[in-house]
Amino acid sequence: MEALLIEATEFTPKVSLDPVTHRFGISGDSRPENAGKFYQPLLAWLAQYESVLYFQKTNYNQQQKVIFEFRLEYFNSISAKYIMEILSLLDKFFKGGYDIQVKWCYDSMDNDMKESGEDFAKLLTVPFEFSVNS
Amino acid sequence: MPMTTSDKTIFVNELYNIMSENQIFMTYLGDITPDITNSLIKAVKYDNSNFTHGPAAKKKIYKVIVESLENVCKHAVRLEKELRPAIFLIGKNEDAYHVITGNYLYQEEIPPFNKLLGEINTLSREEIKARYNNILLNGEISDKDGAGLGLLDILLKSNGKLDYEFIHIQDNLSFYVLKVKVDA
Repeated sequence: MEALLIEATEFTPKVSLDPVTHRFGISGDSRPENAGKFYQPLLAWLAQYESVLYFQKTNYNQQQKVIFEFRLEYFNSISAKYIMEILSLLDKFFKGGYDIQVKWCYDSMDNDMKESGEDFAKLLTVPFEFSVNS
Repeated sequence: MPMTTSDKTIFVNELYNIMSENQIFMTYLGDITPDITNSLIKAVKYDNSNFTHGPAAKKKIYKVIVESLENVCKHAVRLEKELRPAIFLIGKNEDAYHVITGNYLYQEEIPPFNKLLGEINTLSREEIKARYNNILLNGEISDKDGAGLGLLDILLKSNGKLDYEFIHIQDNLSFYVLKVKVDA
């Protein structure tokens, strides 16, 4: 399975989904003109990634720790819906017995971003770690 | 009678005075396309002279501006034969910013939309959040790339009620005005 790497633009975030390091991240501003077109490939990639986790667990008895880091500066309301879809998939993996953690990063002055993360966390079971950007 | 150059100079002067007195620092009249939306949002993003209440207030107002413009961009009536421009303006006073949008809507869209606006305008902050979360978890994304979260987001950032009006223009068209106040 290949990594999914997308460079940031003025209105779309940087995305890095790497199946080798199992470190995933999305950072920057998210206000894509067509949110579906931007986020569907990420969702499809993650859905496929579940089979990697399954393969490692069943064949090598390895419990891979997966950290998904959100370091967003801004996201619009339709992006919130897609972020929820990503988090729901991670939640499903976590409930399926995989070691998944969400790392939610925000600027120290950005209470709104912190609160958004807390709101997402309340709706899900997957563990969230909150971190102030240094 | 068309304006002469001299008339226009006087008018610009008057407009300058009206905008300065009312602290209206950004206006746009025209078709709000995705490209225009991007340009207006960029102008807001890089404007540090008019957003004078610190980064937290700027971020809050930025969110309201983005959602307001995206709503106009997605829903405003665009007629090929006849220009039906939308209007967008931002003003401020000592303790609040005001974001105003106006755009044409087809008459048939107004009853359900008016009902929705009336409904969400009566909700408490907790009820708005509950509705927002319910859409996040269970809502569907429409073919216009919308999920119904934008107006709720605007309400949450404005800490108040939406001030809106529908002005009937002709048989099948109304002009919809939305005024949002965001405390600085």
